[in-house]
Amino acid sequence: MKGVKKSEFKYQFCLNIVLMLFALASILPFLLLVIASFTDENTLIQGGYTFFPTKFSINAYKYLIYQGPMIFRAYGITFLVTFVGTSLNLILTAMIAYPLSRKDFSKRNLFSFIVFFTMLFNGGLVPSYLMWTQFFHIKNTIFALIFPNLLMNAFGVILMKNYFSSNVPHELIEAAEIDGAGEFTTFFRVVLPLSLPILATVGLMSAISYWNDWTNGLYYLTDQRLFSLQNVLNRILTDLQFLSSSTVSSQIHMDMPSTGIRMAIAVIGVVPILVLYPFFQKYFVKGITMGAVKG
Amino acid sequence: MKVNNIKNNTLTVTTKKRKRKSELAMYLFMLPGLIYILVNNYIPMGGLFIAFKNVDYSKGIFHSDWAGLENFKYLFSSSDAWIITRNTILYNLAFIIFGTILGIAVGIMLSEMSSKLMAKFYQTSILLPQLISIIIIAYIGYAFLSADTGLLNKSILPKFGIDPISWYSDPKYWPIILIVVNLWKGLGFSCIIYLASILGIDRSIYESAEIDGAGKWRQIVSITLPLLKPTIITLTMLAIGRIFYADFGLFYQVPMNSGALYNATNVIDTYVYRGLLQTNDIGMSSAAGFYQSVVGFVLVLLANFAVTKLDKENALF
Amino acid sequence: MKKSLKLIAILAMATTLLCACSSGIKNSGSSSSVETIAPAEITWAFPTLGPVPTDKQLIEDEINKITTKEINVKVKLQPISIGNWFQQSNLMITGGEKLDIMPTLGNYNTLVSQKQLIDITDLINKYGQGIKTAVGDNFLKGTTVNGKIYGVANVNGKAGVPSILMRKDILDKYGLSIDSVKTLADIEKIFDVVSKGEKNMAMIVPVNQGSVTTIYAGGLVGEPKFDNLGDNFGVIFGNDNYKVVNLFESDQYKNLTNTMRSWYLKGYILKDAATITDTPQSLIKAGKGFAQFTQSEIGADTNASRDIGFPIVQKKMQDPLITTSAINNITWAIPVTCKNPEATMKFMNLLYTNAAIVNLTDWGIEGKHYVKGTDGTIGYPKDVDATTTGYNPGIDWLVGSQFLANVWQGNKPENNKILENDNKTAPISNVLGFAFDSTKVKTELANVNNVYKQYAPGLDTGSVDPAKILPQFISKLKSAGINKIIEEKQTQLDAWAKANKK
Repeated sequence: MKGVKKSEFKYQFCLNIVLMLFALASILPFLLLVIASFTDENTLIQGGYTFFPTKFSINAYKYLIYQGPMIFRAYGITFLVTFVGTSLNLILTAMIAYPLSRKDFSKRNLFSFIVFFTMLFNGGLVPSYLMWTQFFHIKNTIFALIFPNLLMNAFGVILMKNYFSSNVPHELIEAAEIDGAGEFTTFFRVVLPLSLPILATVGLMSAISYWNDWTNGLYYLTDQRLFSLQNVLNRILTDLQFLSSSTVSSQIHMDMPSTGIRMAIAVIGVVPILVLYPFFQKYFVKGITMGAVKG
Repeated sequence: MKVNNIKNNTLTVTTKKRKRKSELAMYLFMLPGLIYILVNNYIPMGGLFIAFKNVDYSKGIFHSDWAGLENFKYLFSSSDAWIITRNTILYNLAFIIFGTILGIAVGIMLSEMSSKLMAKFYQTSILLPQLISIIIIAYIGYAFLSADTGLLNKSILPKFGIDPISWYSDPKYWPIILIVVNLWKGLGFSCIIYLASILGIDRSIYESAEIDGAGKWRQIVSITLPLLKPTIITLTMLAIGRIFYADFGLFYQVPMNSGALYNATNVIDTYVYRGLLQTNDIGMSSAAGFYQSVVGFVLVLLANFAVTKLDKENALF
Repeated sequence: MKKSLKLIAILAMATTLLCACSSGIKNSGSSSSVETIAPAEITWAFPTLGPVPTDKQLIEDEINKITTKEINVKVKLQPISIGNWFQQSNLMITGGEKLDIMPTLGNYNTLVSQKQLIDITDLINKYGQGIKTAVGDNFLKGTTVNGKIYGVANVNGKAGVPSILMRKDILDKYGLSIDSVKTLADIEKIFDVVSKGEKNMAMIVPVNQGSVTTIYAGGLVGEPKFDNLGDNFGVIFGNDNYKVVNLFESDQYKNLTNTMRSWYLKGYILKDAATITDTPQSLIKAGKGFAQFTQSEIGADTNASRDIGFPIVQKKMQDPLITTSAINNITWAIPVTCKNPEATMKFMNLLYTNAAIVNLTDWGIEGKHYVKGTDGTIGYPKDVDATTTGYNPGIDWLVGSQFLANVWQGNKPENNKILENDNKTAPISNVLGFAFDSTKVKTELANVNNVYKQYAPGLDTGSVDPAKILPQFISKLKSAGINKIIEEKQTQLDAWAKANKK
């Protein structure tokens, strides 16, 4: 048995090294970002971004603290929109994916196609904009951040549908029906509890989409009180891009937020998810524990 | 299950009624989702006609004159047409192939970790790039690739005795750079999707394989990969449907919109943006979207047809 | 069960919060004043730099005090971030949303040819007398298309020329003076001296992404001026002919690329000049550069000194020529979505005549956002600065007649008189009033724009070898259809010249 333990240890060691390399490749650039947000502005422009800046400064964060109310508000909006949007997304996605996964549902191919087709054909921004603003009047309301595009997407539906078909045995569903359970009860009591990994996956994807989204704000919001954190960051970045390319910019002379401030906003846009994500990871624990049992 | 064959007659009636109730329930389940995609996706599809209009705002979009195929011309008429098409397709193929291999590999590795704390840590870290805005990623890229202050030119290349390279002026490095950046950003998601599927596999299969003497590699090849096949096929087919669309942020922001790199970085989406920046012609941009949709659609139909022939179970529809 | 109940409860709370949020944010319509005739309500969109000012409502109220009294109109301010300006204003017009008056920022010709703006010629005659006086016939001609006016130029200095800005402290350090500078060669002589002493500093920074000089705004220093006729694909050199030619095949462009290349090889231009997006001010401020070009008449030095923090001096390097592009770069226009053109035109007229409104929009409320100084300029009140002020949209170049506005400290109030005079006396392009309608060549324009963006930055910043690349650029432009664009321009120009008896 000692031999087995030794080779298992070597195996785990190699796994750790490789995964650690991947993790570092992801963390180091982010670390650079954080350091840049604490670097003095002139040093940043003069010497570029570096892991060892010659001069530190917390000016970027001072500026953010001054803008505190706006940033706080943007955080609030982002959290609210992400939470509500993701919850609704999961409900809609699961409910439409389930029938598509049932081999005994006669029209499943037709509706699979109907769902999937939306990934291929796109009417473009203008028709969507006209519909959402003229018909549903979501412009400058918080619904503008929730409804367009992100509330459900075909990708999530197909992932869930596949998971249901391959991981929820039909026998279980039949057994529930024999026991007298209706379809809804079967879905909520039998299918969903078995599908935690895919619910967590699609939920995560949806949460990240909502968190990162800035185009909905760009198109549908002019009222900056409704801006999400990404909208706030993007507004600054696009203002700067405008200045560097426009014929009008020679007339403008205004103090634009420095590089450090842009980095700082990017950092604070990422930190909450980093902090909260490990708590949601427990839905993966089941599988990860099983992996541990294996060892 | 096998109870059904006791008394066929009575059971047939109840079975039929139950089946009808069940079908109705299925429709009810789908209703909210279907309403959403009707509103969000299908109604706006009606706007595809804009691609064929010469938009005159004084007449309004609906009453503007028809333009035939005029709005499509710019996508085919210049020598760039071949370049942008080639770039879009080749990059997406590379993303699909490398992204799939890497996603599966990392997903498997994560599932094999015995320390769940470390697995959590790795997974969170790898997800990190997904959360950073692409413009910021472009800045980070600039931190590495800037000609005079970049980390590569200033600190790393001199150690190997290589002269500084003008990264933003030389197209030949960019296919690799863009593929690496795209993989780096997307790995977090893709490994989670494969991980979720792997976690759904019954552990006892692995245990019995181990008892039979199968090594790790054998287990992966014979158990994990075949069971992942549906997921792989699905994801690949979805990607093929999007093969004519490019990630605008990746191809515009990361190369810092540098003209010298266009031969390697210009894709359909960036070409449309740059071409229409001055005139902002919505007919022409709608035509580009239409073109991309049609090609993607045809390719997916072909791919689905091929998959149906080989492995009917896993076709998308 | 318990867990899902909890989840549902949270979801319910969140949705309630949502509805509360949305009803709170929804714009409560301003209470209508009790008057015999209710004032007309118009929506006024304009770009802002930075976040929307917190005191926007105060400004709106003050402006409305004036407008309701003078013209019985209520104005709703609709500021939009400048980076999002094109996207959002275009969507608003496409979506038919209520938008009555807005500026055009460099895309006047496009908006006119797509018919997004309404014809305001008669409206100006009826309600815009103040506009006619403030803007003048010539500048109105500059925004006339086929005999109709669709927008009115803003009033500030229009006779800008290519100028060079340099750090005075460094010039003093090496005993140099900017006064002797007349040509690019003179500038190079100064660079030769300064660069030896300042090893880590580039000599000249890009004024825009991918462009070191202001050739596209006013021609290259020392070379014939040209009128770019709206875009750079087909221009007219000199003020005495009507021949449209390809700028990129000209000697002037060749000289530009050669000069830039020699400067680049000497290290005077930043290695990444073709791609960086930092503003020239921030680069000089950080000590990365010593000089920059700009298109300006006077006052660029004081503005730059303020923004950069080092003393800056300016030297004009060309004689002015006012072109159509200079005039229609920034205009005020009424989009097709306007519901009440008469009320809107009355308001537009106020922008050109009412100093109070202009000052409110530019600077805010006197006493709260600015105070008058002793030398005729204005500055921040005590305890207020750029980050703490409630109103700082940065648009003192935009609204109506800038000659009515207060001047911020550091600038000279007398400058306005000089600018006004220059506007009247500077030479005007022969083809003033010609607006190119590009609908027939929109395919070629889309293709040519891509080629231009591919090659021009490298050539304009000296980052590539013009001997090799310039011929490639020219031939690719041709295969993308630039000749078709030039021919179409020439045809339209000839027709215009005939119609205008030239």
